[in-house]
Amino acid sequence: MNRLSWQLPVALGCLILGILIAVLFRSQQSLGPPPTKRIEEMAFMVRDLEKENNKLMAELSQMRSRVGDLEKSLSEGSSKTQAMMSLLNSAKLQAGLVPLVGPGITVTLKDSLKRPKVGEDSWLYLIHDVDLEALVNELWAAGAEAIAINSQRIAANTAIRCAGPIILVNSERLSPPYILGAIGPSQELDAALRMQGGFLDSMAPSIRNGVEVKIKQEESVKLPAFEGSLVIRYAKPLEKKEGGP
Amino acid sequence: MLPLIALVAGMLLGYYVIPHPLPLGYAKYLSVAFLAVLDSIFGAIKSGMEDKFNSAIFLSGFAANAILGGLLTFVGDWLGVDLYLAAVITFGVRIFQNLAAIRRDLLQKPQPDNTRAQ
Repeated sequence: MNRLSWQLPVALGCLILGILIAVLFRSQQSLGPPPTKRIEEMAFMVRDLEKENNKLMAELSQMRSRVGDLEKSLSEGSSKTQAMMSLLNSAKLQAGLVPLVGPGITVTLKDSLKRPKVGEDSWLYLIHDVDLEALVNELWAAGAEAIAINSQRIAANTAIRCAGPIILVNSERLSPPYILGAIGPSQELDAALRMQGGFLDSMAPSIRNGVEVKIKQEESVKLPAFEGSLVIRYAKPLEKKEGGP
Repeated sequence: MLPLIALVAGMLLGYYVIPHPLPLGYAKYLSVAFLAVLDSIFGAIKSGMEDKFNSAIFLSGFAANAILGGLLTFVGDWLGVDLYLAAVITFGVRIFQNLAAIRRDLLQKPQPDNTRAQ
């Protein structure tokens, strides 16, 4: 009897202990298997996929050059095909599928070399995706005709995203320094970035922390062509003009 | 024997019945609760062996440990100071002390329970 009297409450405690152990185990499990192994596995997967991607990209550029050749041979035909070719060329120009050159500006953005002080947020020491987005928006609004960041042309479906220490543009990983080129009226573009409350002003706190933002007017800026996917799978053109959504 | 059965039953219960994904924010609370329970159990075993067990003391200690541990963790989270470490260390030290006492009890008078029960 004596034994039971203390074993019963202890059993109750053990029941709770067991539940706790199980829940702890569960929550440990839900974190997944040891993360290092998974990271390695995923790194391999990424490498493989990148290899495949590169192969496909090479194939794609080959195909595109063949398409170009065919278009050229077509343009030597009748006046009708010639007219269509000029239409096609202007559409390609609009879509950003042609490398361009022209007057404009370049903006160079560099992360700060200084380290944030202890307890200070590192946000204002780095260039972020939102900074690039704001810059691109400002330049479009100021009359830029074409924009590229590092090797990536900004096209209609370009996304600028944050992925840890790097920025994804067209799903391509870019790392600082970010050199943005824009073709357009160089003086206006320059002024648009420097206007009060504009891009440069909004970057002022970061610039004070050592972030570098250099705006330069250029005689000629060279921009690469957009090389991403052009496939449209879901959208279809409306037959008649039925107004927007 | 009974506590062991209860332990296994609790583990099964926790594994299969409790909704699985536990928010990570509660990990601290869980570890404190775990140690509090372990502390109470070791204390109870020790006092049981020394024939000084009192279920009121056990249950109140059980509740008080859990509540104070949870409170410390909560306040610590709130203040941004790891106050729960105080609970973890205290419980840890006490667990080892109780374990030492149990060990001594077992070695000095072999199976005192059994002799008495017989």
